[in-house]
Amino acid sequence: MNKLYRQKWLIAFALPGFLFFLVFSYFPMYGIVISFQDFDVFKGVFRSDFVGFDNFKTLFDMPDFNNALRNTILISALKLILLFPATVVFALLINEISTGWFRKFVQTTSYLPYFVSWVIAAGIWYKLLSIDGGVVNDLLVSLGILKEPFHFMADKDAFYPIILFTEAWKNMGFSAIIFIASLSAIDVQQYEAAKMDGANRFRQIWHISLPGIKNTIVLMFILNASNLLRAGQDQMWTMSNVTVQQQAEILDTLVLRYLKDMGLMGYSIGTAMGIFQAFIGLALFIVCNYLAKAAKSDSIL
Amino acid sequence: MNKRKPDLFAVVNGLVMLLFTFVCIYPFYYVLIVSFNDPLDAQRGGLYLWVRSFSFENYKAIFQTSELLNAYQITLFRVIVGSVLHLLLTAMFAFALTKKHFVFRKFLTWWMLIPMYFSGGLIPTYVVMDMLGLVNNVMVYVLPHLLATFHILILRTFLNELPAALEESAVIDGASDFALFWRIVVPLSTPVLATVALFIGVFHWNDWFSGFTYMTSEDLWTAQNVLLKIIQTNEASNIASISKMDAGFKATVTAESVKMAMLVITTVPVIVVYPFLQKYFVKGMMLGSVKG
Repeated sequence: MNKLYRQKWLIAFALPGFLFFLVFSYFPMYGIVISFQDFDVFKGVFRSDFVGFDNFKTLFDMPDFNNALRNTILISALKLILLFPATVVFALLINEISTGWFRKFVQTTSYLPYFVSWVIAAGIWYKLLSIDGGVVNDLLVSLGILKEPFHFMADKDAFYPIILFTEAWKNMGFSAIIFIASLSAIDVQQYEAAKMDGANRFRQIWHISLPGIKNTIVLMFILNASNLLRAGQDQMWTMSNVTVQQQAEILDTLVLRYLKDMGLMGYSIGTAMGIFQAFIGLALFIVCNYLAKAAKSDSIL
Repeated sequence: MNKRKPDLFAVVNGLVMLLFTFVCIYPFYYVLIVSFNDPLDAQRGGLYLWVRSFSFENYKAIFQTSELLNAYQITLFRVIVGSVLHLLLTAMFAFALTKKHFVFRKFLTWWMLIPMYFSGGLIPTYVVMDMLGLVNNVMVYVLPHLLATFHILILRTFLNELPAALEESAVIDGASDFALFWRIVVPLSTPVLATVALFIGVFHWNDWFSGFTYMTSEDLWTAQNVLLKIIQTNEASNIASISKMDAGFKATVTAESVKMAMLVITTVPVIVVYPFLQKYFVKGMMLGSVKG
């Protein structure tokens, strides 16, 4: 008791934090229970009827859910397969700039878009890709690539390319930071020795730069892969519209739609979706973390 | 890094990088010039590089619309109150966690780490917020964001690296943990506190999700929410809600041009703080990756 009294200030300092996580993180975990109930707000969490795995069974029979699940995995996988290597290449190219101020300038501007919200990004790109007077359409038409303005934001086939492009525009510069930091840790003498041996730039990149950051690449790839069920809620919600909703619906946005549109009716199913996502996410994280530990040994991290 | 004579590769690479920079900056520049151009003149199109007919009309219209001003006030409220409280609680919690002899240290470390890996999901969170009376309550912008595990980790790492001797001498002089925190720890950690302040400030400024999810009354929306609605309803060519505003704007502005001015007002604060932010990114990014 005396010991507790001596630590009264530490306890006082930590108490708000304890309560914060209790209320905002641990209370909602009770949602696991809701997902096994036929949830009735009037009866509450404690008295609603239990229905076992019924909600999950309903879930897997729902076309909406299956569509959202497929979209989520497809969009995440596309981002991982196309944008991840692009980010590494971008970092390598920045690293090859030999003029100090120019390298700094490119790097600094490249992560400007990262700090604005997706609401802003969507507003800007809706305007740029607009059909009447959008800069992109004006440019493509005047160059003769398009005969008439193309309605980018209302085309089902154009949606994924636009999503990938805007994602790269917004986040590539920022994601490249870790690789650039890792590249700067490579010993300059290695490059000098390679030059003596007559290795050209591409050989230097291939034989020195890439192996030098191999572990960071593997580690970041694995960490990114563990977010397979997070396809980018903010981006999907802000960039999509009714025309492309079939393509744009991911698990996160479907749950949000259930909450906003279905009201009380959607609570049990919506919760089951969230729990499904949380468990798969956790499983992916554990597997990926295990793989990352194996790959970590001599990375800079 | 490695100085080389400019060769073909360097030239091509330089050009590619210039193009990349252009794509990053130009969209912002474009929105800026349209927002400062006369709205009716802007409808003729062809605005690419500079303002053709300078005008403050769009900005005037925004500052005359009470719903927009109200939204910016709410945004400012959450940025200021939310960030100050976040900073205070993060510092206190991280400080307690760095004290090796603290009885609850191990327990509280796990207590904050577990939510990073598992969450109950959106709907149960909504039910909890509802039970707490936070739906349609501005405190929903502040309370659920009082702490973030990632920020606690950044601060904890920093505090662990502070020389122990500083605190030990104060303890010998009979300073309580309370005095230790305010007189030694807080002053010494200003740089890292500034970093966390900028991160949380930008989050509060940018967050649209809380307003969208927990506010059914649009009077309680933040600027990001109003902007999102204008962008989305406009695109669905449902200008019903905007025409109401247009009437107030006496038709000297268009929905499109006001949107551009709103984009500028909502972007500028972030662009102003980001040079300060970027000083600390690399460190933050590294920490973020190690946490796993």
